[in-house]
Amino acid sequence: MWTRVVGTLRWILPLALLLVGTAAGAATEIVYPTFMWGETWNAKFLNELKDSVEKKNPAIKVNGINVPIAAFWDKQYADVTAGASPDIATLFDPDIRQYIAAGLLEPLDPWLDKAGYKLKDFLPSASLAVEKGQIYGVLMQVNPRALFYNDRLLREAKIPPPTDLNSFYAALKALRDPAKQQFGFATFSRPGAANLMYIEIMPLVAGFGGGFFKNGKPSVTSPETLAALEFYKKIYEEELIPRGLDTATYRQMFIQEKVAMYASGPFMAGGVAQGNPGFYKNLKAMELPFPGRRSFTLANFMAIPKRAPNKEAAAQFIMTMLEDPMQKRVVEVIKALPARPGMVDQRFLQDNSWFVAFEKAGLTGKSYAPEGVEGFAPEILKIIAQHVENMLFKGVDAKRVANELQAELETFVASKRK
Amino acid sequence: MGRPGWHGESLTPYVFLTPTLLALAVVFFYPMLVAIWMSLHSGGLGMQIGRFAGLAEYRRVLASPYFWNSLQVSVIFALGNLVGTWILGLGTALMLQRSFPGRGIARALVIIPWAIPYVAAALIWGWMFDYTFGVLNYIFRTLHLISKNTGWLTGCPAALWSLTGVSVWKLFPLGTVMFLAGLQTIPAELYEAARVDGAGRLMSFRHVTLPGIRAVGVVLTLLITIWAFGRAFTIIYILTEGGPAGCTETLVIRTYLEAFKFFHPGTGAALGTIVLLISLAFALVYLRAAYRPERR
Repeated sequence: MWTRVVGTLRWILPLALLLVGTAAGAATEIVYPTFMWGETWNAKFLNELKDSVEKKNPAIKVNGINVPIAAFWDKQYADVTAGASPDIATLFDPDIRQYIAAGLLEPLDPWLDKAGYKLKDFLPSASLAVEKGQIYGVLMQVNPRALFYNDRLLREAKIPPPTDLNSFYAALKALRDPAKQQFGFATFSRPGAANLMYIEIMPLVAGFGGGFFKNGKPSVTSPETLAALEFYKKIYEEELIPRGLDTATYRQMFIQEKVAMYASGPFMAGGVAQGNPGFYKNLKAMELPFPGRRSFTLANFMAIPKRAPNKEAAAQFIMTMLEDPMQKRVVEVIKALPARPGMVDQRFLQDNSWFVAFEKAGLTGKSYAPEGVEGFAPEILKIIAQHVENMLFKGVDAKRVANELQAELETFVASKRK
Repeated sequence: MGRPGWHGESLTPYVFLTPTLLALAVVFFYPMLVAIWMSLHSGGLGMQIGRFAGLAEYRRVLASPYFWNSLQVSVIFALGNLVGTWILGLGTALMLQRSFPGRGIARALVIIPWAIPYVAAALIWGWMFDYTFGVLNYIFRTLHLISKNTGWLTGCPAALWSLTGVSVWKLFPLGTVMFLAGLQTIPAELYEAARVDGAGRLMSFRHVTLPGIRAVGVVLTLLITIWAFGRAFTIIYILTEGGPAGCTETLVIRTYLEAFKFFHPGTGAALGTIVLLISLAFALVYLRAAYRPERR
């Protein structure tokens, strides 16, 4: 019997040692689930980044998992809070404040310090990821807002690019052609989707010089915000914007040249180049032509969850993204601004003249998240959407909506400070 | 041979039931108890339950005007579904019970809305309801039934009625199938006897058909009510997400928003428990009706 046992051990032991050895030398796998793996330009950039990280660090493997955006935010939240945390999280402006407040993120300072990066090395939007002096996320891309326009449609209608509110409104009227199902401008006018409504109407509100919050206090009744709401209601009621469509549909209408102007981020240019190359040469962009001459940015952060199993490897991934070559690829591939300023080549600007307006907006634009109360953004955005919907769909006048919204936001903020 | 008893045949049913009970315990009773436990806590996230707060989350829910709006919307939506499914389901069943050429095909076609996935149905209806490009506005304008486009999903209460209509369209085949099964259990002699007694069609329907489908009707009522009140989510979420201005925000949508969008798991759990209690009340009414002795 002993002979059989020894005989068996003779081949089991080396096999076991081999397995242990393999495990010890196995690559660390970073799990990085995000919807961006399914988006053409973002996926192209992420795959380049993945290759670069794996080439530089043979002991690191990146497992990029595409999660459709419809399910992504809930899934990420459930995974991070339930302990099945990914190694890298994707967070937009308000989300990162919520995650920081809930203690779900790891400070990145040790790795940033080692790589020699300080907060001042990043675009202003980066400050949203800072809490008590610690940096909890870095910008992957920044999408400032400017006005895209279809130069061909404007030329055919013999309209110069609008430079102020009056010429913008006149252009909207001139370009509206029900027979061709053509609109001069598009923005959100659909019930539900509070977050999207807020993002899409902010070019108007910020462009007028207004905002729903200033330094943590509601500012809906400011003359600028009220004027923006009145203008929004006016173009909705005069059917100068498509009604009831979701964002994806009217973006597609812009790409298919059924909408002449659209206030959005530079990523839209990628959609135009892919969906309608003939239009791309007529794609131009300019500063928002509204009285306040202001814009805002929408940032996409990379962060490491507190319970991420491979923090060190995840940090290497993020630090590689911050290096010059990958920062320049953010501009060239995604056509968005990267984390660090000064990464846009002159040659790129010559080939893509529309990008100038976005670069300018990105250097000064503040985050779209409600200022000073970013951590409560989802509830605040829902409250704002409810009242804006009252104005659009129930015919309540803008002034009354502004007063009611101001009162409810004041009550809400007071309840959170108790 | 041992004597049959506790150790023999009488144990067999329990053995067969054990896997189902275990599965129910894991995927149903345990999450339900955790949700109730969570509803008594505030400030937790994910696996962290938060601090014990007694009934504070319930008080917070009941003090919120959004809860009462959602409750009202849920009641209207559930009643609309119930009435619509009853009328369309019973009407279609009565038609399909008659003998006519192509009855088999007609019976198969009626099932189609039920077989279409919810997401696909919602997207198709979303385009049909569209203000600018929707086929409904086009048809009604062409027939001169409306002079300008209607905001099927942007008006209030139009959006609630539109969603109820889509939901009824999805559910009525269930009613049809159940009523058809019920109608086929009514003996033809009863109709014959009613006719001999001088009853017309309406009287026969009132005194023979309705009592004959009572049991089926009670089950359908319970199923539709619980479904529409406590489970309807997909169609509403895809088409309006509870808008415009809360006009279609049911308790289920509010629960989702509180738990997953606002990061208030305690409030979400409290709302879920309230929905559970209301559904239980419906179930109790059903059980009383189902087990009530027949009046002779």
